Amino acid sequence: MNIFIKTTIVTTAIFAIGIIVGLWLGQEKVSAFESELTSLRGSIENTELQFLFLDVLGSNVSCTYLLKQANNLGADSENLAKQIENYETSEKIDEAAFKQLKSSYTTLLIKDWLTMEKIKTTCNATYVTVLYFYSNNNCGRCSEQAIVLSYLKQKLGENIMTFAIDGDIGLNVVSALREAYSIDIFPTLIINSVVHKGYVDLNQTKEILCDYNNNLTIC
Amino acid sequence: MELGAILLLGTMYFMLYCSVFWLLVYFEKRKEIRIDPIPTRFPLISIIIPSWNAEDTIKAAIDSCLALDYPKKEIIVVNDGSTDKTKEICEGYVKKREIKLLNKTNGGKASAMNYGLNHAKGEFVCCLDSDSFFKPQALRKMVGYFEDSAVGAVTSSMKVYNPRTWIQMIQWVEYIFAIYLRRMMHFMNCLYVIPGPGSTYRRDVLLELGGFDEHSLTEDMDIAFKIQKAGYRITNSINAEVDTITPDTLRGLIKQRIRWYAGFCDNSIKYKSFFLNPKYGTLGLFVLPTSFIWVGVLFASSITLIYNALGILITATKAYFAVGFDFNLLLAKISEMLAVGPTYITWFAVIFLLVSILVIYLGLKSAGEMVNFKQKYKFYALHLVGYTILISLMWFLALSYLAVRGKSEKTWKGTKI
Repeated sequence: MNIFIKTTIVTTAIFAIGIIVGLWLGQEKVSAFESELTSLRGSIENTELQFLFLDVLGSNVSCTYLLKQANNLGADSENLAKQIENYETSEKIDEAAFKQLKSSYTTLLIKDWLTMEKIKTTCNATYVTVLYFYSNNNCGRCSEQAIVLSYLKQKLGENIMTFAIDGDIGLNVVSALREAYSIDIFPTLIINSVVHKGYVDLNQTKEILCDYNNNLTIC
Repeated sequence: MELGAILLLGTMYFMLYCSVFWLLVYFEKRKEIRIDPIPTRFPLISIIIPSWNAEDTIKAAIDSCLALDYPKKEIIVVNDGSTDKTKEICEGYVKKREIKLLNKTNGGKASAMNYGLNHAKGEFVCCLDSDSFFKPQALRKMVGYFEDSAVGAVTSSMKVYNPRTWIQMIQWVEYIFAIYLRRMMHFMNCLYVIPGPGSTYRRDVLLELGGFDEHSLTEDMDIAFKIQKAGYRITNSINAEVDTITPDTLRGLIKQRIRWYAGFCDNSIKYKSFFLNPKYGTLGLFVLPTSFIWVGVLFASSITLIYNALGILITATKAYFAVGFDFNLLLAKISEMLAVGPTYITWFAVIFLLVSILVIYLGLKSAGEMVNFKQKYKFYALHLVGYTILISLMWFLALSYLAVRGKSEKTWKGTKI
C-alpha cells in the first residue's frame, strides 16, 4: 500500500480518537457540572421553602439554621462558579453544550442571590452580598476586579457572598437586572443592592464592606 | 465549532500527518537504516577543504582526512584569502607532501569549492568544511552508493563536535534529529540539501552542472536542487560520520540560520517548478510544500506560547498591583486551573510529546548515540523547552532580512566559510 494512504489512515485514526476523547471529556465535564447544578438547585429550593416557612407561616425554622444553609449555598455556588469560569477558558469541542449549561447556571445564581438577600433582611444577617457583572468581550479591568473579589472572599470567607454574572450572556433575567440597575459598563458591582459602576479597587471595596460591617478582619 | 478551534485542529492534523509519515518510513525501512552498499572498488576521491581564517581548526580537519581509512585520496586545501595563519599551517603539510594547497583571493565558499574542483583529479569530489572532522570510515561508507550510476551525491551524517554551550546542546539534539530525518529522506529520494561537512559528489556531475553557484546564500542547497533537476539521486550514508563545530553563541547561530533560511527562500523561488510537481515525487509533492506550512506552524506555535506566557504575566502583574502578592491566592488559582482536568488538547499534547520522545529515541538509535541517552538529558530538556521559539526567532529574522535586503545585495560578501 502507498505510504501516503497508510499515513492518512493512521493519522485519521489517531486524530479521530483525539476528537472522540475530546467530545467524551467535554460531555463528562458538562454532565458533572449539570449534576452539581441539579444539587445546587435542590439546595436553593429547599432553602427557599424553609425561608417561606419562616417568613409566611412563622414556623419554628430558626434563622441560625437558615444562615448556615445560606453559607453552604454560597460556598457551593462559588465553587461551581470557579470551575465553570476555568472550564470556559479551556479548549472545548462542544461549545453549544457549555453555553446551555452556563445559562442554567446563571439563572440559578441569580435565584441564589435573591434568596440570600431575602434571608439577610429577614434574619438581620451581617454578610455582604456582591453581585458582580463582568464581560468576556469588552471589559478592560474585569480580570482585576475578579482578583480583588477572590482575594476578599479568601480573607472574609462566609462574611461575603459573591455572585459573578456574565453581562453579555443574553438571558432575559440578566437583561432585566441590567435594566433595573442601569448597568451599561463592565465591571459593575452591586454590593448590598447598591450599584458601583466601573472598577472598584481593593481599598475602595474594603471601605464599602467595612461601612456595612465594621467587625470584618479587613477593617 | 469556532474558527480558532478548526484552525487548531487542522494544524494538529497536519503535524500528526508529517510525524506519522516519517515514522512509517522508519518502520518500513528499519532493517536497512544502518546498512550501506558494500563497495567493489575504491576510486580516487579528492577531498576539498575550502578555508578562510581557519587557523583554529584546519589542522584537525586535515588530520582527520589523513586518518581516513581509504586507499586513494587527494587532499586539497583551498586557502580563500585567509589573513591568519591558515596558510602557514597548511604549508607544513605541503612540505610533507600530504596535501595540495591552493591559494586564491577571498571569494566565498562556493568560489573556493569551484577553484578546488578545477584542480581535482578524483572520480568523486568530497567537500569538508574547515571546521569539520571525518571519522575514519566515512569515505568507505559513502563510496558504495556511487556504484549506482544514477547517484550524483552522497551526504554524510553530521554530529555536533564537543557541545559546551546551551546553544550547542540544543543543536546537538537538532543534528541527531536531522541524521534520522536525512536518512528517511534518503529512502524517499527527497533530499534537497547537501551539507558542507563531508558530502561527496560525482565530479562529472558537478562539472556538467557548472559547479557551485557563487551568488547563492546556500550553495549546498542550490547544488542539491540542480542535481535533482538533472535527474540524479542524492543519497545518505548514516554511517559516514563527520563531527562539525557549530555556533557556540546565540549571535553566531542567528547569523548562520539567517543565511540558511534566507537561502532556502531564495532557492524555493529559484526552483519553484519543483513545488507540487509530480516529476519530483515526494520532494515536489510533499516535502517542499509542507516545509513552508511548517514555518507557519512554527510561527503560530511560538506566537501562541508567547501570547499565553504574556497573558499569565499580565494577569500576575495585575494581581500584584490589585492585591499585592498573596501566596494563598496564587495556590488557589493554580488548583482551580488544574481542576479543569484534561481536554482534547491534552490528548494531542500527550501524543506529540510521545512522538517527540520517539523521534529523539529513533534519532539516537539511528545515529548510534544510544550510549549517550542518559548523559545528555540536559540537552533534550533544553531542546524541548527552547527549540521552537529559537527557530521561530531565526525564521522571523531571516524573513526580515529578505524583506530589507532588496535586490541590490544578493550575497554576503566575506562570509566566513
